[in-house]
Amino acid sequence: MTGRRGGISFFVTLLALASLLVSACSQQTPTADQTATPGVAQGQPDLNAEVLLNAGGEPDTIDPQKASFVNEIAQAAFVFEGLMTFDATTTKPVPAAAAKMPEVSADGLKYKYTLRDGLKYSDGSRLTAKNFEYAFLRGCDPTQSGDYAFVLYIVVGCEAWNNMDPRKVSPAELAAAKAKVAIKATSDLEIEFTLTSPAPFFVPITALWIGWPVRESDVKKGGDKWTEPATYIGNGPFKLTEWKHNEKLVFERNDNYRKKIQFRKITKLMINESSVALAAYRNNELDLVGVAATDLRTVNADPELKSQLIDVAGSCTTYYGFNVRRPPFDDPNIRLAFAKSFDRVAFVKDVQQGIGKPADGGFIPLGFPGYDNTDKEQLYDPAAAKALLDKASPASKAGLTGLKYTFASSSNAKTRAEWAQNQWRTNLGVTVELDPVQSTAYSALFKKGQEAPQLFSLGWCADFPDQQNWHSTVWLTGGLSAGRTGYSSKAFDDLARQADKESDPAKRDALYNQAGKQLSKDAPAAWVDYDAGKRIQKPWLKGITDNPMDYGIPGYFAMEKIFVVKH
Amino acid sequence: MATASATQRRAAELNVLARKQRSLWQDAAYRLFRNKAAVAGLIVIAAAFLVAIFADISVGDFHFSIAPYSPTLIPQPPASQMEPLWTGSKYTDPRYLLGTDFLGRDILSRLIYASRISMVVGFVPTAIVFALGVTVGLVAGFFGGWIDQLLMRFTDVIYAFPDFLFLIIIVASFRTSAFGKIMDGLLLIFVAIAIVGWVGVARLTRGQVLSLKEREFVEAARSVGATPVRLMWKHLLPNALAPLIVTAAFAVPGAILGEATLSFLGVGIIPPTASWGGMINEGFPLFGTNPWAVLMPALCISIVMLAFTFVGDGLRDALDPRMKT
Amino acid sequence: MLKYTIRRLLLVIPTLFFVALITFGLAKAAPGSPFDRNPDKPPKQEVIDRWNRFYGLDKPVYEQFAMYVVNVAKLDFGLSVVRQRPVVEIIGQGFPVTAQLGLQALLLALAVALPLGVISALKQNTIIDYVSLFFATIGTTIPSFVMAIFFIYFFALGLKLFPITGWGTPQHMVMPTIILAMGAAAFLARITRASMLEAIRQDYVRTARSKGLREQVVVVSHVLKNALIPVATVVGPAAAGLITGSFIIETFFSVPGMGREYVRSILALDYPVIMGTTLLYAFFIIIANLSVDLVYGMLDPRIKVAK
Repeated sequence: MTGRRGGISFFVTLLALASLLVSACSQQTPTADQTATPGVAQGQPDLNAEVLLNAGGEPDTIDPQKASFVNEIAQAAFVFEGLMTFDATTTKPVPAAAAKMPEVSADGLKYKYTLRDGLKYSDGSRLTAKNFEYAFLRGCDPTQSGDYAFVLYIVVGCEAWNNMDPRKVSPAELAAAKAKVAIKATSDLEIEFTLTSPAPFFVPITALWIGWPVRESDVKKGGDKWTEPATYIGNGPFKLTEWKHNEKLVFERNDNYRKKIQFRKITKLMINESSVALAAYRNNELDLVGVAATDLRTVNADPELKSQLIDVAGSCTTYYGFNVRRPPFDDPNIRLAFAKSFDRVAFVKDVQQGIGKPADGGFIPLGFPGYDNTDKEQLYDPAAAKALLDKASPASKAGLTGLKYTFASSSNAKTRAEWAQNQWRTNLGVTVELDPVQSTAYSALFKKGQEAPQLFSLGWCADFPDQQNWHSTVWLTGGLSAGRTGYSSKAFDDLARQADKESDPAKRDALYNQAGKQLSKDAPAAWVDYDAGKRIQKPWLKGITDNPMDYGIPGYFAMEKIFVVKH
Repeated sequence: MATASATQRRAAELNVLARKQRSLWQDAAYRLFRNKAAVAGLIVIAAAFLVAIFADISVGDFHFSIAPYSPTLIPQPPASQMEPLWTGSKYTDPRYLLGTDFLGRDILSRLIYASRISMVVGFVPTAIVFALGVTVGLVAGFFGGWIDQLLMRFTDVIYAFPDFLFLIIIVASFRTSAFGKIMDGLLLIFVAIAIVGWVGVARLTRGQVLSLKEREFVEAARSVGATPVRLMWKHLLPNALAPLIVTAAFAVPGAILGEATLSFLGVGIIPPTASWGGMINEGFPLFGTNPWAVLMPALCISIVMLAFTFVGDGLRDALDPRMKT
Repeated sequence: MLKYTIRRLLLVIPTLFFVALITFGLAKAAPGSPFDRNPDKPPKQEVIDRWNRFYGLDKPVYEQFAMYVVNVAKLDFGLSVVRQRPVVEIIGQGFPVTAQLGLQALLLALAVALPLGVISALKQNTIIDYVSLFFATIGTTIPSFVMAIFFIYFFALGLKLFPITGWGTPQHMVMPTIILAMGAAAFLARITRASMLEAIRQDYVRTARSKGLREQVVVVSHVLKNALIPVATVVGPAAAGLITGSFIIETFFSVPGMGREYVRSILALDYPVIMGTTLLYAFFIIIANLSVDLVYGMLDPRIKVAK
């Protein structure tokens, strides 16, 4: 090891080099692809523009038949298009790859879709009804499907096939079950579905990602890796050109798409922390970013940011669930007492900083069919709550000692839980302990039935805009939240089931409203708020039509209207 | 006949002879207290202890706290995200000196209560680490042979784990179990830090014992029939103590930082109990709005850690027998 | 020396085995399943059962471990449960980034710490010494996530010098590298200073000085060489520490490295990724610890490495 001459001069050289580096770097600007088309006038769409978005985090899978999280569905949504989609303003299902609304048979059991002529995949090959047949069948396939197969159970044969255990059943039996599934492409442009019972909500289901036309050849060729850009070919507005895992996703315009898209490229970064994302937005590394409640003050304090603030409608309701199988919540008085003892308006104002709406209309949120603002069963009323508590049976009241509130831990959830704990202590005099649990361990807790958590956090977001997706899917005996709470009410079940089948829209709405009020009164859960959001976007991004169902992609249902002006 | 200078010299000699002998420990203490930084550190630590103790004294019905408000109750209506009074921004509230967090709780009160967590987290796991590590190190170093080999291979395995990640795995795995809920998750954190930390101490002790084992005083003690336990406890340990003390002084801030990191990642203390790391975790999303919500707990952690580091440095310098006073 | 090295290297295998065993045990002790990702929309039991079968998670725990060990011997580290991609691929993408970040930080730390430590030792108890000690202490006491917040606030937002997120261009690398380097630099500076002080007090230095050699020659040829020995031994573990400890920086700056992936996999119960990454990290740490003894043995002629 040779000696070093004069440590100081070495250090000085290092400093000099460092400052050279710093000055050189500050000349360049970060990431954005600035190759705008020359000669584009101000205010005109820059057809070559790039939009910078935040994907939030690395999506676990972008396979449409397997996706379940918004950030997974969102990536697939750029690349694929289904039979139907939703209208950007009315949220009603409208034809997408289909040429027109489906033809429904008189008995309400057969749905026939006709495709548009001349549809293509991004590689130029033709899209036919057979592709849709493959995709929908894949959605029911017990070896391939994911969490959302259940929406297709209304189709004859799908549930039976999907519930088979491929290990215990022979391939012949599997094939036989598959053959019984009533999804058939009757010609190049026509596909037919047969349902188990009349279901007006089937039309929005055919807009969902579970029916997006992935190609059999791509899946076979790519195997486990078919979702990589080389084999991830779709019929949607963009194609996936690059996926640097944990870093970014890059999409480019699909010139074979049936509509003309007015910008060229989307780059999605993966930033987990909302405050870091906000900082990136200010640094022009993002064109659009969601604003969390904790960032709101910063945004409002900056006049430029404040002017870019936009409200985003939500599609979720959050609620506190009660385990009705054992004390204290086996007593409906105690349940209703808890439901009436926290101030939802204060919650939205103080904890959410005004983002969202208090749940003042039952289970279904504002903006969705079935929102019922005459449902006042759970209105905040601390005096009435206390009275209800007094009416409760002593055996159930005994269950109040040592009561725990269980929730999947995240920094937001923690804050909300602390607030709720405080409300119950102040308004009811009940001390509730907090019990945060890792999200991967959360669901497992509910398998214990009796021993499941007594008081826990829950939520539901719409898959499609229809009451069936709310009341029936979630609260029928055995439904998703019904299972967790142990709720089972014959009165509610009868009303909801009747409504599911009812074809007269007015009668249907009335039945669902009745069911909803019954639900709020039984209070297996206490509705807290309807989520909403805020976002900020750069002034050069224009033409976005927001919609609560848009998979977190603002303006998705009218993609062709979005454009970027030169900046 | 004596000259003036001779008298002075004689007087000086007498003084020298009259001065008491100082033991190693007294020597070290003297040097430590001459070290201004170390003294400052000790004062800070003492202050932190006092704050922690007086944060909440509850004996029967009697209750006293130097914190102005409760750390967990949310006032209604809440004054959320208030900034400290000295910033002069329009978002301040005269009731809250250091401002409030997102839910409207007083930051000063939370800081005070959180000091208890940090003090406890600093010392208790360190005590466990030392009890365990010193014992293992003594046994391994003293007996040698296959006991030594076995224990050393075992420590090799633990040593191979990256510290923080091991900590995270242990805490994340047991957080949801009954054990993980005791004392708001504090016991689990103690155990995790102890599991990760004892290895270094064991090795250090073993090294010390190995080098001390062959010294004359050990042979002398053995020759008068001292048992192994007595040898280890009364002879080897006191002499090995110096570097151990220094390590302990640095282990405390390490434990504090460990808890802060765990709470920052969201796998630490169970809310709503306040801890400095947890407050950083809560304040982080608000950083753009009110950086003080993050800076105040960060400053607390840094100051306490700094204090321990100065004390540790001071102890190391004080206990080094080769340094001239 | 060679025999010793070989013996230590052979010990790596059983050590890694036990590391795997402990990690496996801990990961399995954690309640929950990697397939229950969405707390509000849990998949049907049949779906979970199917996934469990596919990944062999329905077998008894000891059988799963045995299978894992056998596969590792064949260099098959399995598929990530959550991402459904081979673990080797995930590690292969993340690790070079982390390694690059760690090594850059190490080089920066050395470049700053060594001169700083030497100078402050030579000028002990002067202003320079106190100032550098102060910075060294700050570097070790302020948590890295706090430093990261400061940096983002001042350099990225305030001065608009660097991008905040991502990786790829030199500008992206500056802030993460600096923050990661700070802790290591502080630590290395203190060690350098301490060992320089120790070396300066040695008898041979007095001898050299009394022989009339120029101060600089004394410093360079005698003191420095010996003082740097302890530092050299520490470089290995420091590098290992940087590589394995970068997860907070990676999370903050969205650096697509291994550390971030590791924390994510622990929280998501992605067993194969947890196992694979732990083994990789443990391997590095073991090699780094081994390097301490070897470097010591090589550089310090007084030390004969124990039998």
